[in-house]
Amino acid sequence: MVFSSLIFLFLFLPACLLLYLIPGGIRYKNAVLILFSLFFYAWGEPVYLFLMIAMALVNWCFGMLLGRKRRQILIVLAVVFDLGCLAVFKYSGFLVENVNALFCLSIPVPQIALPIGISFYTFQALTYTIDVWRGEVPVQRSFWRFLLYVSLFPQLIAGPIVRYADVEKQLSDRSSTPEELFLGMRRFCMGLAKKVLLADYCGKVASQILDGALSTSTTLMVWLGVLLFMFEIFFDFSGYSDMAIGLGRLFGFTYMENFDLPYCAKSITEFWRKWHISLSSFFRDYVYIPLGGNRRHVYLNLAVVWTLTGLWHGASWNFVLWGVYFFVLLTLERLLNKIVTKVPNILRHIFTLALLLIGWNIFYHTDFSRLLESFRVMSGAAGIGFTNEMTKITLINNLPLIILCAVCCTPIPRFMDVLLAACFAEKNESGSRHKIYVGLVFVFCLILLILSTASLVGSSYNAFLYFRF
Amino acid sequence: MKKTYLVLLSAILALIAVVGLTSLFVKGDSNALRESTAKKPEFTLSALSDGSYIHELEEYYTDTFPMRQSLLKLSKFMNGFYYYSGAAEEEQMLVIGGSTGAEQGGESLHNVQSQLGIEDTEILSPAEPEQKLPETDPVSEESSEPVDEPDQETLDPDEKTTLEEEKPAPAELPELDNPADSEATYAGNVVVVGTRAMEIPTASNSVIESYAATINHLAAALGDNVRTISLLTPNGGEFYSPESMHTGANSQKDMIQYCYDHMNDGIVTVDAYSKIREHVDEYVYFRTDHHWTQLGAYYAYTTFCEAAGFETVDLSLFQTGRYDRFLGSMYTFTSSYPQSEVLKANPDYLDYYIPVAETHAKYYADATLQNGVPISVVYTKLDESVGNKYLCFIGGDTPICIVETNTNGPVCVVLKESYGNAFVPFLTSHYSKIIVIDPREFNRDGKPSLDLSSFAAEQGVDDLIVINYPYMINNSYYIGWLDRLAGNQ
Repeated sequence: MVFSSLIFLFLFLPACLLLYLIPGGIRYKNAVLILFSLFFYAWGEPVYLFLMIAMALVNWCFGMLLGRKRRQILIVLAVVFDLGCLAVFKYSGFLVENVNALFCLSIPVPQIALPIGISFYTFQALTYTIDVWRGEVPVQRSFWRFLLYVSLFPQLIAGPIVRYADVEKQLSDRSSTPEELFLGMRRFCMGLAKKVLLADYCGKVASQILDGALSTSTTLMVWLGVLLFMFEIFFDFSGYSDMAIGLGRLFGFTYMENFDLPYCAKSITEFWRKWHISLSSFFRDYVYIPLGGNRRHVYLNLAVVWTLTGLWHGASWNFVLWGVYFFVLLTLERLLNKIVTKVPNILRHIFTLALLLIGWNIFYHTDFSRLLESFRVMSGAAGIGFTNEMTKITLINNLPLIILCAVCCTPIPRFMDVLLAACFAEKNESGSRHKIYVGLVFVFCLILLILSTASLVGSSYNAFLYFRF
Repeated sequence: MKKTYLVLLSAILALIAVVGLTSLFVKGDSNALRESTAKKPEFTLSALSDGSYIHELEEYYTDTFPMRQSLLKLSKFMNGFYYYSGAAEEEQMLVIGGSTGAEQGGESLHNVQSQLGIEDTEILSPAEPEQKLPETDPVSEESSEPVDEPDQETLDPDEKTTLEEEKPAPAELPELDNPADSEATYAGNVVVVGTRAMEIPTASNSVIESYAATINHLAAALGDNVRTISLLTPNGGEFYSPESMHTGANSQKDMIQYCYDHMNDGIVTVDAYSKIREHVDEYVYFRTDHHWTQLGAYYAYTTFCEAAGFETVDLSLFQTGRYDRFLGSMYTFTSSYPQSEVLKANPDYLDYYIPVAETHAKYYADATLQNGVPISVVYTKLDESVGNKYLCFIGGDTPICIVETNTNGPVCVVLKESYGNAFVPFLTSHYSKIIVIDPREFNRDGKPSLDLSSFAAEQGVDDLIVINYPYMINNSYYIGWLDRLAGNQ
């Protein structure tokens, strides 16, 4: 099930919230959440539900064994098991295809459908077993609580990658104040609007342009397509994270922030501090630092991390190329740091955005011949010229959307919220002026919910990009 | 303050819960056609495990959501923001990428009438004088039988034997298509320019070459005794769009010429373009539909006659009639965008020309020609609820339609998508039998198989006429299906 579906919004969510908010102990609340989470996963993946439960069970067992004795062989086995599952279900087809191509073999390519969210819940389970082995978190003796951690539906299928250490205490003891619940609801509505009212519309046009006949497209048209894809992937993914964080808050869990205005970055290094923070910090803490971090063979470590980051995003060479592209950019930024910092901020910002656009184009095209063709058109070496009437109309048609997306990528919405809150600020937070502010926020959320519903009814286009990761 | 938060939270929770409960018990206000297609999926374990059950259930839920029509209106209103025209109403422009999916298959009048729950009164009533349908035309019980399940038991035993002997038993269903060319589905754009919506095809030379090669294959497969005639017609985009949309890679004239240039010498090519070009100030293309009008088809027919050696029947000799208020496929395709409002406010009308010759026609589900369903070559009494008036020609798109006439002439096979539908009635003045075949309905996706060369030999075909418009000659899916008729897999 996805958050941006009518069944989730109007059946699943109210049923889950009503049952959850009925006064009851933590065991009751956990039971409600586990049942709803399993149902949530089974809705789209009835068969792979058992895989997820099995992975949770095996990792829980490893945790128990590590709790008795922290033997290295156990953690090696646990990591091999988790990554092995990921390799089988996500990369086996890719692997066999490449082995066949490399050695001229014809091994049958396994046709395994990717289990939704496997990249996320495998990494989550890994944070638990590795941290138990490191002695950083206590062993979870209750399998049900561990299953709740792995399967909790807000972050189950598209992140953020929630570390066990961050929610360990909340699994057995949590509460939410009415204000936190309200903020959770507000965050969810914002995320839903990002996904449904921005990302989906951008995606529709982006795919029409980028999946079309590139050789007969114009340079400006392809750049426009990549720009819209750049917006789509940000609002899609950050919208999902917002919904996850908001839902988590409704159920008393606090998740880490996953995005922090990444397109405002002035360098690629800064971008990666603001984009998919839970993933980059995972690679930092569980791969980069154990490999030696900044202390020894830094560039080799960076190369490993970025190749893996690329590969994590999909079983295709373009994702590896995308990871290597960022490795090269980050390495250059390190080497040229003194020069780069002297460049005026505005130029650095524009340059970063241009590099990101190129990166997203690599990310978009899993077919290398089309990737090459798109770059040829973008550089003017192919295509039917810089622009034409069709491009002009497409640009005008999408101008309001582009402007809205651009504004929403900046701190302007946050600033407006702060400004609005300041207008109604008073010393006493229970005062009537503050109530007006809360009321306005409520109405705004309601409008977003109604518009999102209308858009969902009006469009069948609704697939989360991050499902495939 | 705590109380305020609780009240607001309760309000929003109550709202979504009430809507959710309503959605379970009250069906949405969807329109009649949509409602009939929104069927609750049947639960089976296999459908659950392969995900199709859930997918269909979600679609059903969306189709029957409370206040669906109001929400669709709101969605359309929002599209005014998302698809901004940036100009005054009369100059508004909209580009929608992608194709209408016409290459995947057409619409038949019979299906539309079934969905609307109306009877084919025109055929079931006594023969229409205009059509001169012979009274002996067998409009029997078999016409009401389902066409997709040929009832072998009702066959004449001799006929059954002959068919079984002559036609090899279909061994297994053709395998599913996985065309590699991803450009096929996006061979152009749909644009709304002012009060007209058009498809703008984009040339893909290699695909056009493969279309020409396919016509060569078909001609070779049918042998020297069958004359192959190719008729490629431009669509309205060639004449009524801004210049850059019908020049360069979008020039349909160039596409057609390029395609003809790659056909073998023995193939007769028809220059419909030049003739239509001469009459673009007349009503030769619809504004809200992607087809030509029958008048446009007539001008193409006159060039066809020149190329094929027939004497053109003057337009004044045809009886005519009119359907007022026709909102076609381009309106439907753009109906969720506010720019379509101007199309709705300026609908088309459809003038039809009734064949001069006596005709009777039937359509069939496959090449076994069992259980034919009688149709009219030109329907003059379409029910008002049938929105797509273009279906009045040969009953829309059906797998095989055979028109027999009282003309003493040769036999032809017409391979076509819907562009051919308005053209076929004119052929009745020259052919004794016209076998109209829709290549989209054979040799794919579990559809019946058809080997055109043996079928044509059985039917004693003299001419093979292939009619297409530029969207199809740039579409590798369509070309693939056309090629399979020639026996190429």
